[in-house]
Amino acid sequence: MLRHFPKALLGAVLLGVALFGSSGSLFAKEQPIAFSHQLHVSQNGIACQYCHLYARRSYSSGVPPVSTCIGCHGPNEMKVVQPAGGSPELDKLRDYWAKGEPIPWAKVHDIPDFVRFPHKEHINVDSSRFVDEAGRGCDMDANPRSLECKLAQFRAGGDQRCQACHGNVTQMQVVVKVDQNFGGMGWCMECHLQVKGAVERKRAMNTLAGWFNAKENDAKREAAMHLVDDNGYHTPNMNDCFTCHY
Amino acid sequence: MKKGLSRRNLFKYMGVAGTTAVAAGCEQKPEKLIPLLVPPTNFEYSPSNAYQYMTTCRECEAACGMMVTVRENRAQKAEGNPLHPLNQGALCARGQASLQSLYNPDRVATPSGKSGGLSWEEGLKEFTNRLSGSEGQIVYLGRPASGTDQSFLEEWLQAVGGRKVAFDLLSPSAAVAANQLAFDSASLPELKFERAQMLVNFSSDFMETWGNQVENARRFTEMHAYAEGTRRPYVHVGPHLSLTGTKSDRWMVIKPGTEGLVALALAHEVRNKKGGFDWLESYLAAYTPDQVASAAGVDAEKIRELAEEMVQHSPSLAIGGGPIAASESAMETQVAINILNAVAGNLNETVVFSEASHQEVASHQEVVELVADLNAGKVRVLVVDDVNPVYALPPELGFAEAMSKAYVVSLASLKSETSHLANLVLPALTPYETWGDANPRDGVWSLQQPVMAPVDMFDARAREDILMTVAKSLRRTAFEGVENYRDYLQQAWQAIQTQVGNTQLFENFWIQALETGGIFRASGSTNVELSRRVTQVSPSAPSLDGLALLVSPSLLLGDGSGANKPWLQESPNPVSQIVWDSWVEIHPETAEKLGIQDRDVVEITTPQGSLTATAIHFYGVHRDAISIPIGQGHEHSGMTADGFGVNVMKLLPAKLDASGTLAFLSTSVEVKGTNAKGYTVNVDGGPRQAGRDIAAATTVAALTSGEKAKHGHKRTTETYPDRAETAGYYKPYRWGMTIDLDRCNGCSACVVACYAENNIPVVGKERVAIGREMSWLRLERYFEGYGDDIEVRIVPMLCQQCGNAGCEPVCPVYATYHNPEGLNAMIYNRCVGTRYCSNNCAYKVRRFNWFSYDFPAPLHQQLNTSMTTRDVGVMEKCNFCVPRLTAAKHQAKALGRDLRDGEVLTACQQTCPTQAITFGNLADPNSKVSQLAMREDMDHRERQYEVLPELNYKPAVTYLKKVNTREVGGHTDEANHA
Repeated sequence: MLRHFPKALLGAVLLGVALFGSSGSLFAKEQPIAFSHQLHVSQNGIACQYCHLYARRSYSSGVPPVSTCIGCHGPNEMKVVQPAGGSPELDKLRDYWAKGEPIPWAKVHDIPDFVRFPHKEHINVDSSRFVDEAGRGCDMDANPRSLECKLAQFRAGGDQRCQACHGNVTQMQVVVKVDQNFGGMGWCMECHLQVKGAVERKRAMNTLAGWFNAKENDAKREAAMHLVDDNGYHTPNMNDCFTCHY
Repeated sequence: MKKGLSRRNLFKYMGVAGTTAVAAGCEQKPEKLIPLLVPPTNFEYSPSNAYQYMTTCRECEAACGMMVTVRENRAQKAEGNPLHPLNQGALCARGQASLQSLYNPDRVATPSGKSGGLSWEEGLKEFTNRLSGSEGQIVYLGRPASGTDQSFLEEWLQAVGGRKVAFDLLSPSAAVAANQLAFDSASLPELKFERAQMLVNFSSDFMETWGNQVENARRFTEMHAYAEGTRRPYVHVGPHLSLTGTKSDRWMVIKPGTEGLVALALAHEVRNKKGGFDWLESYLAAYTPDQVASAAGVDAEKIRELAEEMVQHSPSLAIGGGPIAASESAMETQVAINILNAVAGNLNETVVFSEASHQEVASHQEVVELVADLNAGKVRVLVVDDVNPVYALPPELGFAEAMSKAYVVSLASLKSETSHLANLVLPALTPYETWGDANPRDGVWSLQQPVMAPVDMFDARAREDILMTVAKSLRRTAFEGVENYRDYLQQAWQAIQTQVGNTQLFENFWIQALETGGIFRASGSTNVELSRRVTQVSPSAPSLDGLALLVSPSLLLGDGSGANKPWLQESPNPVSQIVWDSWVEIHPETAEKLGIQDRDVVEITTPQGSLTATAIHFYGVHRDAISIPIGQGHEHSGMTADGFGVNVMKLLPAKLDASGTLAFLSTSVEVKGTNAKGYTVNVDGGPRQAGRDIAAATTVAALTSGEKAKHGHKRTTETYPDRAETAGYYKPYRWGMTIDLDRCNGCSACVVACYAENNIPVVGKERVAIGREMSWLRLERYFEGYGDDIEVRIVPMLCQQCGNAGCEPVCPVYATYHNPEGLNAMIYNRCVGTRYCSNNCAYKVRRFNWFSYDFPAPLHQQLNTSMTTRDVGVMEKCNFCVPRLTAAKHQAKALGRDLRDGEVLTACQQTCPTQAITFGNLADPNSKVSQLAMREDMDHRERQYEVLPELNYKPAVTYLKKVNTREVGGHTDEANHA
């Protein structure tokens, strides 16, 4: 047995490297400035969209422009918000501003480039499109990242809605991804299958099943799919690949 | 026991190691989030959202209104301004490709002198030094000025002491001179095609480069398109069928340069029948059809028939001009056409002059004089602004040598043969980055505004600002009180405000003008009458022995300025289907006599020079002529222009007509075959449809006799129900399209618009040659008939979004499927590149990425950010502009309603000058597309058909047949030659 040890060790090391390497995102990414969301959001009560100003208007939520930071932490002659005695992190910020360079933040919540994710649609959408049970039975203390809790947060709206996907950033000194499968399609579909009629649409359209005996079941199926809302508006189909990939 | 690794174990460990490598490879470096330093606050801005700005297209002199889509402060798509009276939302291929002048990698980056790069300070100082003390010996050579530019240049030339020479290779100066002579109006009339009952066109390419081609095409189609059982005919009279001529109902083949004679013969006959103009009787007596017949090489009877037709269809419209008709008596030809219009009663009906002309007209005579002045040493400084005479003029004129005798300052945004020879090159900004205006017609003031900050790769300045700076440093009093050209323009617009009687605050007026793209009022009109001076004019046939050289203007490349734009090079010429090249059109009978096979390399010789190019057999050229398009054969215009094709202008003698217009038709050629086969690349599979009826046509007679279409789905018994009968599908949308082949004129604007909208890469000549072009929308061209009875059919072919597609079931990874809205979805990130789908597509509209294609900087800045760029190994195809659909659905969703008809325009539909394309929701019976496609009412269909219906692919694209006025012969003979 022992003579296999070096090879086994080699294998184990390689496997370890593989796992470690691929799981780098478990750990926080190194940021150019040690910015604390906890300090800004929890202690000082700044709303998410004060800085991420495009979230409700655009696909991109928007990283705050450097001028937004400088608005409070400006050069010394201005009214400056800073801890007594100054802060080396704020000096870094002013350096960037003085040089006229943007801050090269490292991206934490990154979805693949072939996905089109509109922040604005998620911020503005009416959560009544979820099935009625969605979000029930959430135990925030026991399992804050359970599907129920994410749905409950989404339903709550406001800054809570941001946390449904991004986790409780308000308490983070350093932003990390709380869901390891963040940005994966399964992770997206977890919630999207909780939309009324989504499961039925998925069954009917993405398999040949919908083709058989379609005629007689049509009305029943379509009612189950919740194609039309009360105002006659046809709700978008979340199971269609073209919704996000084009 | 073996020592060491066994083979089995080796593979085991390699497996682990391999996994490691893959896993490690998967780990991405953290992407960077680069914020803005300061966000734009003076207007609504959101990343990834599109904003539209109105401006003016400056690619040619027509000055169409343009609406530019800007995302993240980068111009990404050019479209026609829907509010503009000339083009009404449409844009031509060259207008679409104007973005590639903005983002052209071959833009001039820094000021430079003969000895190398200069700073702006040095460059401007040099410019000023050269100008000072050269008063009276300065010439500004630029495009014909329009709008405020006219007075600006006048003021500038006054300040520095110089004069202006305008240059435009395809100048309408012969027509202007003829109008002055015939009507006392030195201007171009507004052509009211839509009022005409009939169009007779003498060789002009009015849907390509002649006049405002977008407006012409729209108004022509209004006249010509089949409606309510009739169509108003268009007869093409000339020695050559260019794209414009292919749209004609009948082609009267005449000898090169005899347009004027035929026009007068027609006038003679029409006057005899209609009466009036007695004073013309003796003049026209010399031009009876019988007298003209032999010179024009046409049957006198045919002329009489056409005259009779013109009398019956009154008012008609006769137009003519362009390089094909520009013989040494080009002006006389125009006068003859004027006479024809007058006697046919078209004057002030379909040919309407306005009181004032605002457009400067360039005359080649002035250029010839300039060459003489340069040679005589009378010009010390020559300022060349954005024109390329070194390339465009015949070398015999000696412009390049003459130019070397003066100090040449070139204000150029793009590299050109002229700027290559200049002593000082100052980089100029493009119209996308600068202020300006145009006054293309009485009552139309079109404003040009910068739609984005200048492209940061180039250290360029606005041309007017360069000129102003220099003038100010020469003379303190020059441009007093004006800081830059924007100020100057605003001052001029204050005058326009007074002129149009607007009493608002100027700021409001200005903002309003910026929002609408200008100020648009109805054009004034003034009645003119035919002057008796016309009898002094006598057109004559050119005496050309042997084969005449017809110089055909290029639809895509214009006068050659389009050659450095990759989209225009890669878009095939719709008639020849050739890309990235020049060619020689020769009549098959002539070719046979000379022993020249199709695709042979031939040597063309004139006394002025010779060149070699590939000959193609084409029935659309006169037997006694060959035709070569303008535009290729560049030497110093950048990487997509240099070395492709030949420059036909090198063959031309330096002859002018009476009005001082370059005589394009003034030499005969010697054609010698060589043994070599040419390497031209054409994208058509073959010239004939071989009975497939892809581009179907019907006749007016068939339509009015009650005969119904033979085409349509055959209702067959099916194994599976139609998707329309499946739960969840097509509710509420089933996207579909109709393409009216009777309206389509093959202008290729849609092809280029598709390139621009969908980030389609340009692959180059070599790869097109092996069928790897990437265009999602192509124009298929088919010939019907033979000899002079030829008919050209053009059919736009794009993904048909089949309801029962061939591509879907063969995809092993479900990358392509039928989506609930009827789109044949193509999911790039699922695609593994088997290419099964493409092989199983009957319409051959799928394109495969054989490589990762480059968008050389800064062309990548044009990429539409709402559309994915595809990488190597992925299939792609038309998706009915799904990003536009998504964006519109998001907007409708915010309003809590479904999309309404006409709220989404696909890129091809948006830019179509003739509105041949209609896109919309087939599931809504009231939508325009449903009513045109008549899918629910197959039995009452007239012109509607689907391509290859026998395959039962159930395409979502319905074509409307082209309507002919005659049956074209040669259907039975499907021999594979054109």
